[in-house]
Amino acid sequence: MWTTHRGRRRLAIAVGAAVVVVVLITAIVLAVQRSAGAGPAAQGQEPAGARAAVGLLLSAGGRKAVAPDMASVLGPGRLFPPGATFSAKPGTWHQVGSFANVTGILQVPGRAALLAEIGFMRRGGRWLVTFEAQK
Amino acid sequence: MKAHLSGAAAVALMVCALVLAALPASALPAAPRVSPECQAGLTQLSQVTGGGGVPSLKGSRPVIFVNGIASGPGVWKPYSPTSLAGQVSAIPGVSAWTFGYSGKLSLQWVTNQEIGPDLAKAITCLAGISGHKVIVVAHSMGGLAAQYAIGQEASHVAELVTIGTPFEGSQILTIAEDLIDGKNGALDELISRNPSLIATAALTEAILSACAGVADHTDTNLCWLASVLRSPVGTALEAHSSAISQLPAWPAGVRVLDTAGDMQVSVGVFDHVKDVDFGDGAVTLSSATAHGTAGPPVIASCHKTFSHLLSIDASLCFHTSLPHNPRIDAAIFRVISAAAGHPALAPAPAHRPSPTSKPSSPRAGSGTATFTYSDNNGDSLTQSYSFGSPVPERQLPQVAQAASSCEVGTGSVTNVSDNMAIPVTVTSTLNSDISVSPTLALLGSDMFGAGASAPVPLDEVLVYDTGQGYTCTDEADDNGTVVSISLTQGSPGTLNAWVVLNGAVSPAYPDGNPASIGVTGVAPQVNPGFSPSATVRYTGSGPAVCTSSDAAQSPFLHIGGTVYGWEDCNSRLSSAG
Repeated sequence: MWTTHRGRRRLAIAVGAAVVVVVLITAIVLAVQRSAGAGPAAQGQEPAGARAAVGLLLSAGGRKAVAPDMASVLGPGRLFPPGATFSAKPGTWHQVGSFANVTGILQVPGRAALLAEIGFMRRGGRWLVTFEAQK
Repeated sequence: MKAHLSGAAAVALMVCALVLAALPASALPAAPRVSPECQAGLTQLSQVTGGGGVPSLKGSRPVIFVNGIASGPGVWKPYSPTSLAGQVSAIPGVSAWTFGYSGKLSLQWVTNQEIGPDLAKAITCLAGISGHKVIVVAHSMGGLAAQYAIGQEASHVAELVTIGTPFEGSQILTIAEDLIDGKNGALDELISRNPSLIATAALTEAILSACAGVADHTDTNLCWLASVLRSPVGTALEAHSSAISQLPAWPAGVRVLDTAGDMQVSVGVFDHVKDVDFGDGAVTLSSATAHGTAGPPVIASCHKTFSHLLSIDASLCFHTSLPHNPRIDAAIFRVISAAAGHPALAPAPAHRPSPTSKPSSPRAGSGTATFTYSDNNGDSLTQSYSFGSPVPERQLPQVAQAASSCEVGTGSVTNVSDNMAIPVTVTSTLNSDISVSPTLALLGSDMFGAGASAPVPLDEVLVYDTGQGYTCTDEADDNGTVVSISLTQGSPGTLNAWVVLNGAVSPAYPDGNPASIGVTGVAPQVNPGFSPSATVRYTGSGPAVCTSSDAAQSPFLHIGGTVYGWEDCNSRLSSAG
């Protein structure tokens, strides 16, 4: 009985200490982020706006998804052949401020699947594609 | 493997990068200082000792190397006999010096007392004691520091050689700043005044996107620009900035030879790609060659795919790599040796093969090696390695497939059509009645001994096929990714892996031969799953096997090229430890 009480007390102390450590680490990280003036950064799932941009990119109207500067230097014609798909790999969305990228599998009919990266820039409330590159 | 970190960690890394930039000055052995007359108040000045001796300043032709932004004197590798600075210091009659400013100071504008004004003092002092005019070699913003100093002390300077100096500021930096700060109107106006900048803007937008979350903001990849953007000197280096226009005018009598990097980068969407002129990635070609008075500029040209540009330790044409570009180094060496009265003198064999040179050793690969780890209880693990000859990665579609699940390196597997891959097969056999889970990591970098440099900043990526029961674990330390497998006696495990050489098939390295590229090899690090006795026995055949001079526990598999700092490598081939 005594042993059980002591075990519970130790467990409670350990849990409490762990909570304190987690809170401290979180506070330090947040403080460093604020003091460094780092832009908003995010990692994980791509936002719906970016998914929509990729969908548009692969469609017949793909140029509308591309950032204006990049669109102006691309050659004429549809960007991707019909049937092309892109599946983002979970956790590969990386965003710092208005810029982001995501990695996934690009499948184009008649070609082997490719690991590809797509870059984004947020302008006027929209995510626009800045590049697509095979990795 | 592309690493991503949180914003806080990225900031911390940037701070670390800046601290590291200052390290070469402090971490290396103390150099002999210049004579007391010049040393007083000029701690930035150190004599280059890579040439082996410390020639007297008096009567010599002084050459002073000036670093650029976010850098330090270590960029010149002054202690290496094979660096440009080291080779210059070995020219008879020449004394070579670095004028170094590093750490936070290297992010200050050139009018800071400890940069431009002190450089002027150093030039005056060196010229006064030596009795000869000084030759200044300056990288990046160091060229603008030299402009400031020469404006004060023109009569003491014989010639200035600039390397990627932004005489007109950096359009790339300006565009990047506008993009990050959301100054879309300013950017649009800039492009309307100069429509040719639209491609530069498109590429800069792509780079900023790709750099989001990239942790390795070292000074050898393009995301390094981010540290400059946030520095006090960022504004001063904007294109046609008032800070640059306020520098002293160039004196007419000083010869200036410009050298520059000129990268063409393929960027776009899927099959729609465009080659974009991107200067050296920080300074446009026109800005870096805006003040040449000593003949045509020396230009190092490269072509890169977008992925390759970001994932490798950039390129020999990249801004921070230019001081080690063989073409540029050779031109600078010629200038200095001619000024010193030795016009026919040629640099010693380069520490890295010329991109156009023929392979100096037989084509690499096709070797075997066997390592046996044993303990005192009769347990032993035998690992047999087989290296194949390098082949274009496009012939091995399984590599890209495997890379998606298990790869490690300074970058990641990029454009398949540019890469060579060296197949490695590792068969592990357990001779014991115990079950073990040995781990294996093939380390493909840092093969170079003290004082030597990587022959070529080309990155190796190790790709492991985990399809045969191996587990891929990404370790957050220098060991990177390890693979492990559960073994029992009588059931060997076979691991297929590839050493992928990003960008090895290119105009510069058409044959993709590691020997011509200068790639050396990999070192397997093995944890056999039990405590082995001190001696690890190995045997092997072919060119693949060799061992380090200083780490018997860390055998070395030689792929090709020259092994630097690994003495007696060849003499240890096929021997038993």
